[in-house]
Amino acid sequence: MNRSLAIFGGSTLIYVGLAILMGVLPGIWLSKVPPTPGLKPLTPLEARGRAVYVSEGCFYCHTQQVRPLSGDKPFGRPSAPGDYVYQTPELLGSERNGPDLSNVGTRQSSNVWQYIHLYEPRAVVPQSIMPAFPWLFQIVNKVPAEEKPVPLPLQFAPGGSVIPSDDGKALVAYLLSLKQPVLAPTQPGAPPSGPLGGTPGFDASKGAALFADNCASCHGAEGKGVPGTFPPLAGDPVVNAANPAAHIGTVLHGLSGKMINGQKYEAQMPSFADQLSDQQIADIIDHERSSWGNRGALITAADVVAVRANEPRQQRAAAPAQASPVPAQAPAFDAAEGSKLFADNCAVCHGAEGKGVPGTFPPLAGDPVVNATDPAEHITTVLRGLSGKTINGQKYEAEMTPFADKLSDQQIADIIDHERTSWGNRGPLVTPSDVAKARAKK
Amino acid sequence: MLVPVLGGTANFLLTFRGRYERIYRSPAVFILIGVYGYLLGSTQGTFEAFRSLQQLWHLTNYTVGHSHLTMYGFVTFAIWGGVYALLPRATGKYPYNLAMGVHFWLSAIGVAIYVAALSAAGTIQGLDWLRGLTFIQSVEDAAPYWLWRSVGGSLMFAGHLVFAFNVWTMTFGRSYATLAAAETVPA
Repeated sequence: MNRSLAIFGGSTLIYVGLAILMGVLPGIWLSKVPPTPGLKPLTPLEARGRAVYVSEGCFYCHTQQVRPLSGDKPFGRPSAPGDYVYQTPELLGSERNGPDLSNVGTRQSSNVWQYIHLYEPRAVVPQSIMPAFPWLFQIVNKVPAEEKPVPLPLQFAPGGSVIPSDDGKALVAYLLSLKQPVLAPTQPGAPPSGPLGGTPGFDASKGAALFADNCASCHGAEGKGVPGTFPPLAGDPVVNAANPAAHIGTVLHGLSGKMINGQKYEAQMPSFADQLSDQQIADIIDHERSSWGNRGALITAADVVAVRANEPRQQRAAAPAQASPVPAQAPAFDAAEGSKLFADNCAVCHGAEGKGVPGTFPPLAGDPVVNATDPAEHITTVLRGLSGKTINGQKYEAEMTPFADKLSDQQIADIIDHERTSWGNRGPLVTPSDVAKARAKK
Repeated sequence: MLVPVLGGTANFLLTFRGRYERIYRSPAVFILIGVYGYLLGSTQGTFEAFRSLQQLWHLTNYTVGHSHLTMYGFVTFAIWGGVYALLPRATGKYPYNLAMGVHFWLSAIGVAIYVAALSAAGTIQGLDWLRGLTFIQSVEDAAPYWLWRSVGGSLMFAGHLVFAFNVWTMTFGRSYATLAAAETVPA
C-alpha cells in the first residue's frame, strides 16, 4: 500500500512539477511581456473578424508564427512575444497548408485583392488549394449606394454583383490588421551615446534589428539568455572584454560546451560567418557591447575582417574569390533574382506570366509604360503604387501597393528589369541609381 | 525515448513469438499492426525531435503523416483489436471473419499509403521552403501526393464503414459465429 502510494504520489508530483515549470511559470512570465511598440489593439470590427477567422477554421491551415529560419523570411521578421499581447489565445496554428499570416496586412495590403481571394482564391492564384468562402459575400442585383462591388474576373463572376457580408468585411479588416511592427531598439538613442561614445560609431537601430533577427531568439531580447541553456550576454566577460577577438570569433564560428560563470552550456550556437557581412557582425557585436549594462570597447567591420583573416588557410583561400573587383557599371541585372522578386511581390496580382487578371489587375505583357524608353513612370508606379488608371480603354480600380519602403533600389531595379525583358516586353533596362533618382523626386 | 520504445516493442513481440499461425487468424493481428505502428511512429518521433530535422519538417505535412502513424497505425489498431476480442465475450455474438479481414486490409493499406504520401509531401514542402522557393511553388510540388493522400484516406474511410457493420453484427445484428470461443489463456 505504501509502495503504491509512493509510486502514484511521486509520479503525480513529478507531473505537476513539470506542468508548473514548463507551462504555468512561462505563462505568467509571458503574460507580463509588454506589447511590441507600434502594435495596435484590435478594433471591434477587427475583433469580430478574428472570431470569423476562428469559426471558419483559418488556423487549421495558416500559422501566425514566423520562426528565425531562412525559409520563414518571406513571411516577415521572426515573431516576438509582444506581438501577441492583444490576441489571446494566440492563433499560432500548427500546419502551413497556406502561407503564414503574421504580417499579411503588410504583405498583401489591398482589400480588393483580399475580397477576390476569399470569394474565389483561384481567381488570383491559379494553383491555390484554399477553399472558396462565398458565404462571406452576398450576390445582389442592385448595389447599395454605400457599397462597392468586388471586381471579380469575368469567368469567376456570378450573375449579379458580389458585395462582402458583414462577416466578410470583418474578416478582411482583421487580416489587414495583421502587421508586424518594426522592432525598434529597446532604448532609442541610449546605446550610441553610451559612456564609450566617440569610439567607432555604429548604427544602433541596425545593430538592434540584426540582434533581434539573429540572436534574440536564444539570448533573449534583453540579453538575459535562458538559464542553463543559452548564456546571458548581459555582464558576460567575453562581451565586456577589452580585446574583442574572442567575441568576434564566437559570432563568426559558433560555440558549444563552454563554461561561463561555473555553468556549462551545451547548446550549439550556429556560425554566422557565411550568413552576415562584416559590417552586420560588427553592428551586432557593438549592440551587445553597449546594451544591458555592458561596457565593452566597440569594434569596427575592419576588426571582423582581421579575425576572419586568422581562419585556417583553406577558408582564407576562398575569400579573395568572393571579394570580387569593383562592381561592373553596365546595367546588367541578375535575371534569377528579378524573377524571384517578381514572383514574391508582383505575381499574385499581375500573374506569373504577366497577364494580370482581366478588368481587375492590368497585364504587364505589352503594357506601354513597361515598354517605354523613359522608365520614370514605370519606376514611380512600383515605388508609390497606383489606382484608378485607364489602360487600353479599361479602368483599373484596385489599388496597387507602394513598394518604396519594402524593397531596396537594387531589388526594385531587378523587378523592373525582369518585367522589361519578359513576356515579349522590350523596354530598356534600368539601374538601381535610376530608382534612387526617382525616389529623390517627390 | 528509444529505450522505452524498443523495450515495449520487444515485450509485445516476444509475447507474440511462436504463435503467429494463430495470431494471423484472430483479432490479435490488429494488435500486431498496432505494435509495429508504435515502433515506427515512436522511433520516427524521436528522430523528429532533432532541431535540424524540425527545421525541415515542422509545420509541413510530414507532421500529419507522423500523427496518423501513431494515432491510427498504433492506437486505433490496438483499440480495434481490443474491441474485436472483448465485445463478443460481452454479447456472445461474433463478427464475420471475412468482414473483419476486409476491415483489416482496407485500414492497413489505407494508412500505409496515407503516411507514405504525406511524408513525401512534407519533405518536399520543407526542402522547398529551405531553398527559398515561393510558397505557391511548394503547394504545386506537393499536390500530386495529396491525390495519394485522398486514395489512402478513402480506403481508411471504407474500412471504418466495414467496422461499423462489424460492431452491428456483434451487438444488435444476427451473429454467424464462425470463431471458436477464445481459449482460456494459461496463467
